[in-house]
Amino acid sequence: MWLQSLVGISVVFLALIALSFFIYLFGKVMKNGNGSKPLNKKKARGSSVGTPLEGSPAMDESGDELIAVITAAIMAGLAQAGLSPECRIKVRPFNRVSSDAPAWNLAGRNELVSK
Amino acid sequence: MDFVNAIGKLINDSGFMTMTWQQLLMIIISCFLLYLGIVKKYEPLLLIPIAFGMLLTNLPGAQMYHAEFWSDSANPEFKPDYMMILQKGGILDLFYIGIKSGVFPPLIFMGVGAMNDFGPLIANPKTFLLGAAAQLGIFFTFIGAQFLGFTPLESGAIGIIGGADGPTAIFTATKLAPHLLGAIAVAAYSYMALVPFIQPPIMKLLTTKKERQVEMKQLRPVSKKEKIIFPIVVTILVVLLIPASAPLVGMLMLGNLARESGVIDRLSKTIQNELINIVTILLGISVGATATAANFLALETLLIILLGLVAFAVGTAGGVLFGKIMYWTTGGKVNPLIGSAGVSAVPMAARVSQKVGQEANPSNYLLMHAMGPNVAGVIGSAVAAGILISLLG
Repeated sequence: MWLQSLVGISVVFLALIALSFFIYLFGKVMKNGNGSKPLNKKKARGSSVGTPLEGSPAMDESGDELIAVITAAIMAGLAQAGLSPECRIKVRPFNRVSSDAPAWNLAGRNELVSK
Repeated sequence: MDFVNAIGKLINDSGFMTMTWQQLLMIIISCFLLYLGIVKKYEPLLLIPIAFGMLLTNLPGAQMYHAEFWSDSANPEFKPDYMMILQKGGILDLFYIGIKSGVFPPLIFMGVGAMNDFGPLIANPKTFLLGAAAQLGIFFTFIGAQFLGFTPLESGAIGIIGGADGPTAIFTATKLAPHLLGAIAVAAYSYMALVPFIQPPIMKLLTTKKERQVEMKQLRPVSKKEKIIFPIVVTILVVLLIPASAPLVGMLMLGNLARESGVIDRLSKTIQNELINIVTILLGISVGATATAANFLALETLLIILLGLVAFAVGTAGGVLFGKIMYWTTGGKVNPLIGSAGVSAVPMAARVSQKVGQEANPSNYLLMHAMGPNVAGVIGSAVAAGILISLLG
């Protein structure tokens, strides 16, 4: 009974370790196979959605104006949610979300913002 | 006089007069399971057909399923007479041929393969280990069941509940202990439905808040070529290593290949929709039919349900603890919560990892990371089933 269990769990681990190892190796081979395309990657990054275009409103507005806009948006959101507009909120320095942030983190932020 | 006799005969032949209290209790249990499926939405796709099969088989006089055609407790060497079943069997006997012959569970697996993206597992192959660690519950319960007096064959069939994989549990139970099929299937699907309640306390107990807050690095993109080659390689490697797992692993990977190849969309859509839906109905109703009062109302059913819970809890703990080992060895890059998803139950267990992770850190998205161990768990439980069948069958 003990021996059968030990053999059983060992074989499960061995089988999945073997698969894991093979998939890892295969991934490496595939990566090397695509290694000659770094330029495309750079180019793709350069045109990522998160980067503001030159001359766009985001580039022209000063930090103070953006803070005012963000504060107004928050107050409007609170009022829409039925909360007292008298609550005091002060927006301090803000950071643009990096375009390199993991997609799931961005999705999480978007979900929180949309709540 | 003839009229009175005819009415009297009708009354005497009716189920009301011939029903035993055990059958009445089974009808109440099946109605309760229907309530869980419909109102509480506990795995309704399977629980409702199972519960309805259970209801039909326990209605006296319905004669839709005959337990005596399939097994004889006095004769362990009993073999069903298929010609007699085809001639005299009820409709549920005919459906049950699909389970007894081992056809339905692999077909369900084909659907599971066609519906799941193995990309997260290919992107992070280390998560295969979490899928293996979560199978600890199977072997732990295999030992525990023998201590409680079950035979090795029965213990193997009960232990597989810990894999949290319904088709695998049914497949293994059919091969090792067909007389326990009803109880094992009900326990397996009930616990799969209860994943969101069973797993979180264990996950929280075994991890610190700091560990639960870990944000994992985004997974690398996986190429189409890798996704196509993966099911072929897994089939070759696993079936060569454990031939008994071929029906489950082979069909799982065929379904996945149909999805990823991109050239048989019509077949892929059929596997993902019509085929799996039809098989789910037939499998569910015939599994439920095996839960006759004589089979189900026994102390061993209660023990099976208890052992199933133990198997599930130990499997979850095994995955989380191995996740902790990965957390330490990678310097905190792996969130141990994804380990609990190693107990198959796709994609519910991965969603639980995501939910518990987000409770600790609202900006944490573990879902795709947890899908790796989740699909590894499906492969792992099929491998474990193959091993048990090879060792015991």
